[in-house]
Parts: sequence; C-alpha cells; structure tokens
Amino acid sequence: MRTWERLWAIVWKEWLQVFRDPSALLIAFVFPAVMLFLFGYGLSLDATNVRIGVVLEDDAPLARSFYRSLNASRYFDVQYYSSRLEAERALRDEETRAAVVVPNDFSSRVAHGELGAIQILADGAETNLALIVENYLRAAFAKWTSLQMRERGAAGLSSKVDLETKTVYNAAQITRYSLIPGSIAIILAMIGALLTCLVVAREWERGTMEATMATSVGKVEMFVGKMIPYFLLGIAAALGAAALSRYLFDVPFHGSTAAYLLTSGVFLLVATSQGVLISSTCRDQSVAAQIAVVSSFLPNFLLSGVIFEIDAMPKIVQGITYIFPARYYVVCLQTIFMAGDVWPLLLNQIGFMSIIGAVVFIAAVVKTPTRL
Amino acid sequence: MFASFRRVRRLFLKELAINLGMPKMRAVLIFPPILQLVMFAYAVSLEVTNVRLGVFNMDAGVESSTFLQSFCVKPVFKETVGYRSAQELKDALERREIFAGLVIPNDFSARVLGSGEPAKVQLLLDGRRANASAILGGYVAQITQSYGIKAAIQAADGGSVPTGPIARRWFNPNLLSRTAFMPGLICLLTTTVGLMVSSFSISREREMGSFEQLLVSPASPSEIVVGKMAAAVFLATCSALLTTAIVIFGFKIPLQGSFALMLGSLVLYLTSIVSIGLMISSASTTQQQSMLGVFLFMPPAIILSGFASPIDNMPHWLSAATVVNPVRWEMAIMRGLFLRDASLEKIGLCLIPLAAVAAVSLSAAGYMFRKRME
Repeated sequence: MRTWERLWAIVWKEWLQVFRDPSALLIAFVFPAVMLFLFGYGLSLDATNVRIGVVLEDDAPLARSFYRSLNASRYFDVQYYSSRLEAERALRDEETRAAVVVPNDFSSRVAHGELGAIQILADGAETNLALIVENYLRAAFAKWTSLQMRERGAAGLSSKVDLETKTVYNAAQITRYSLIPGSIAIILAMIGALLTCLVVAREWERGTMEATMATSVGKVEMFVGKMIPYFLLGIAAALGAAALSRYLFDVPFHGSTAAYLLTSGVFLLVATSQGVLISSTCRDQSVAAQIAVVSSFLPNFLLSGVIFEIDAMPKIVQGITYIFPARYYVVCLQTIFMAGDVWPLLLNQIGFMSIIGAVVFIAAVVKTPTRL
Repeated sequence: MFASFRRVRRLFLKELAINLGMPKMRAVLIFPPILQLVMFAYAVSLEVTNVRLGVFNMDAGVESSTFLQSFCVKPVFKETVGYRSAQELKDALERREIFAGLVIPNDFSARVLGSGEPAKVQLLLDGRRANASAILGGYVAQITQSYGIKAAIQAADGGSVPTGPIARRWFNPNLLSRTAFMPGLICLLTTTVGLMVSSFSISREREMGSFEQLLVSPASPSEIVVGKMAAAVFLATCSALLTTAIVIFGFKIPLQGSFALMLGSLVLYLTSIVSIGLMISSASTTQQQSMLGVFLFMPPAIILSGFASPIDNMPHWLSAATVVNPVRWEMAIMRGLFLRDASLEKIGLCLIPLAAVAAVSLSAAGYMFRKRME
C-alpha cells in the first residue's frame, strides 16, 4: 500500500468514529454557537449608561446647569440623592458605580475659575469601570467649565489646545467588536483541544492501539490521518462562528474570507496538533482530558489579549504569552474583522504561529507511538 | 449505622487514593492551580501601559515639543515615535506598530502663544482594542487639557495652575487590578479543581469496567455517592485553601471579612460544583462525554459570573439567568470578603441563593446517580 492509501484509511476510520459518536459533532457545531452567544451577550466592557449618584449641596443655577449637563450625557444614568450619606450608601450597596458631590461653595469656586470644584467618589472594586467613569466625569466637568467660561467671555482660562479624538476601525469604541472576534480564538482553541485530546489516549485505553500498530501505518501517516478529520470539523466551526458574529452580532467584517480561512487554518493546525500531542503523551484518557480542561480555557481566556492587555503584563508573563498561538490569532481576527486584510501584519502573525506549529508537530510525531 | 459509616470512609479513602495515587493525576491536581494563580495574578490587568505613541508633528515651534514632553508619563507611555506624513502614521497604526497617533498642525505653537482660537490636535486610536483605546483616550485628553490650561494661564498673567477634580476610590484606592481580580481568581481555579475531581469519577469507572465491581459491593448507591462527593469536596477545599493562603500571604492581599465565613461559603460552593460534576459524570457513558459536559458548563458559568466584566453590563434577560449560576454568588462572596469588607447580611444575601443551588444540584446528582445504578 502506498502512503496516501494508508493515510486515507486512517482518515476514513477517524471520520466514521466522529459520525458514530455524536459528542464530537456536538463539540464541533453546538458548542461554538453556545459559546459565541455567551461571549457576545455576557462580556462587555462598555461604559455607557453607568449608574452614578449626584448630590447637590449647592442649589444655585450654576450647579443645576452642571447637573443637567450630566443628565444629558449618554455615558451616565444619573440618580439624584439628597444627601452625601445617602449617595455613599448607594455606592456601598453597588446601586451606583460612582458619585459626584457638588459642594455648597460650588458656584463661588467655579466663578473663581477653580477646576476642582466637584468631588468624585468611585467604586474601586470595579477598577476598569472606575477608571473610565472618572475620566468621563473629569472630561464632562472640564467641558462644562470651558463652556461657562466662554459664555461669560472669560476666555483666559479655557484650554489652549482642543483634542479631536478619532477611534479608527471602531468609531464608537464598542467593546463587543473586539471581544467577539477575540472569543473566536478562545473557542477554536478549546474545540481543537477537545476534539483531539482523546484520540490517541482512547485507543490505548481500549486496546485498539495494538491492532493499529500491527498495520503498516507509519508515524507521520498516523498523526496526520488522525488530525485531518478534526481539522476539517474545526474549519466548519470557524466558518459558523464568523457567520454568527457577522449576522447575529453585527460585528463588521472588512477582510476577505480567504484571509480568514488562511489564518484560521494555520491556527487550527497548531491547536489540533497540540491536542494530539497531549493525547499521545498521556496514554490515559482522564489525565489527557484534565490537561485539556486545565490548559485550554482559562489560559486562552486570560492570556491571549482578548480581555486583558498583553502590553500591560510584566515581561515574564508577556514571554509566556508568546507560546500561545491564540495570542497571534486574536490579532489576526480583530484585524480581519475590523480593519481588513492588512497582509504585512497577518503574515507576521502567521509566521509566529507556524513556528509554534512546527515545534508541536515534530514533538507530536516523535511522541506518536509505534511500539507498545 | 456504624457499618455504613465505615463503608463511606472506605469509599472516601479509595477516591483519595485514585486522585492522589497516580503521579500524573496528582501533578495535574496540585501544580496547575498554583502555577495558574501566580501567572494569572500578573496577567489580569485592564490597565493600559507601555503604549507606543506615534506622532506626526507639522509644527516647527518649541511649544509642540514641550507638549509632547508632557506625554513622558511612565508607565502609561513607553516612547513616542515620529512619522513624516499622516499616511505613514496611519500605516503604522494599521500594522499595530503604535497604539495611538497624534497629529499636530503647523500652527500649533502660534495658536498656543496667540490669543485667538485654541490649537487643534488630532488623536487617532486603534479601535481594534476597544476598551484599552477608551482608557488611553481618557489619559491623552487629561494630559492635553492640563497642558492647554497651563498654557492659557502663562499667556494671561502667570499665577497658579488650578487642578482638576479629585477622585476618591473606595475599597481599592489605587485601582490595583491584582487586588480587584485575585479573589475572583481563587474562585475560578477552585471551580476547575472541583469539576476535575468529580466529573470523571463515575464515567472513568464505567469505561474501565470497575463500575460493576462497585455495584456488587455491599455499599448502597447513597453511600457510594456520599463517599465520592465527600472526597471530591475535601480535595477541592484543600486546593482552595492553598490558593487562598498564597493570595493572603504571598500576594499580601488581606482578607477583610471573617475566615470562617469564607471557609463555610467555599464548602457550600464546592458542594454545588461537585454535585454538578457528578451529574455530568452520571449522565455520560464515556470520559469524552464527561469532558464535553465540563466544557459545556464551566466556560459559560465563568463568563456569566461577573469575573471579567460586570453583570450589570449584560442584557436583562441574561443577568436574570445568572441567578442560578453558583459561580456568580461565590464570586460576589469572595470579592465581598476580600475587597468590600461586606457586612454579614450582604454576604448572607449571596449565601442563600448559593445554598439553594447547592441543595438542588445535590439532590439532582443523587437522583441521577441512583438511576444510573439501576
């Protein structure tokens, strides 16, 4: 028998196994849809309509004008509190995420050109929200004061520099647009591990490995043959995930399908090889499954740069993220979805993924058993 | 009664032996939680630091370089990189060589020194990283504002520079991500361990063929379930305590609430997690199916727990659904005890739904296991 015939035999055998155990199909088609749905609706770092409490200790027209300007903002959902104590209680009970106190000398301080006339209290337990809300409140107050200054002709104290901010690729800074493409990487990493981590260990435990070894199948044929069916299932899942992101969650898709398939294909090759490597190293299904559980979800969720910025991590942790193929794939996905086919960037990332893939592939082939 | 207790104890020890006796299994149970805790502790940060800022400066005057110097704020900005055209700047942004770009017009110095209209500076942010760009935009706006005010005062008559509003942060004054996220991390890692020690415990025996031996043993189904359960909760609680100790003593994040309350909530929480694991295990015939079950439960439960993003940000129907998610309640308790110095009654409000979830999942697990035995 020639190589391709043996390869085909292995592929066909695995393919039949996939279709006779419905759980693999469940992993490839139902699981990604459920996960994407949860990522899409469950994760959002947007800070719009944040509930803030406002206390007006000063009741003069100036203070009211500031209150109205806060109320008009799309960032805040303003709750009025009649005393500082009440606003503090609401903050403590997590009814609001921040409080603004307009002190009783507010009007006179604003008239004297003070820029610190309000006090801001924020819920530090929600660090991200606290930081963004503080920035919004400072900006809102600065904008309101310069407007007041200009109205009264006191141009001396309005800023000499106006900043016009333009967020390229995502003008409204909608965090879902970054999180959903990013989550495709996490989902495919999990699928790759889930589908393949048991393929070799299962044969050891069930004793069919011995039968396979008695055939003339070589190492590479065995490894590649076991990978191909799962790789194809992964590609199908990737296409489904892209369609859901585009049509259910309305994430813009500016790149080409070809670029998407190419980067996803490279990523899936690495992910499925990793799974087969785990499987051949363990020979024990429950250990292999536990390694897959431990290594695929949380590390990819936290270290791939989808939610937590890699640039902000310490050097050592940044170094660790380089061995996660998801890190490169996230960059590709966010670029293909939001910016388009930026080939210099994509090829760079594909290069890194290929290096990891080559190492894993060699390790997996070496570890693929041919003897008992 | 005594005989029953002895049988449960035997089963308990047998489960411990399975989980701790195999070197690979033991390694998988002990090292990943510690390793992941330490690694994730440094990774979970929503701060924006080490930004490379691209600049296209058309202004020849001194003012623009003073303005750019005000961006030498470590650790937010790493360096500024000059570009010779707006197109070069855009290309660099597109290739992610820089995270943000500033375009300074040629009349910048003239307008800053003059008395007319303010200078107009454009900031380009990379929207592919939406949350980080929102935060960075805030920083740049503040720096620009304070520079612009300073320039205005100098142009007028000198005098002191007024400062902006002061913000006081409760619970976490310096907004340290690690302080905010680590209590939640304990919860996540504990969840993984709890599921690992329970969800394979029945399907493994079925696949290995030892389940039948268990069936013919004198132990009754309830004794078997209690033995498996107790061993799993015990192992997971030990792991949780180890993780908590590292957080308190290694990372110096103090536990502000009561230790007994935390331990009680952990045991209650792990009872519900282990019950869910046993439910998954009784429902599956192979270990592959168990693993699928874990993956269908764990990631959704973690995403919907409020760990990475607040529950308020979800649509109403989804945040209402999180009521049945045990991770959500334990997350609130851990963060309450570590961060918010929450009162007993507030912790109690989370303990009640957690107890309800535990009771329901425990009886469901018992029912499913007994059905599986028949």
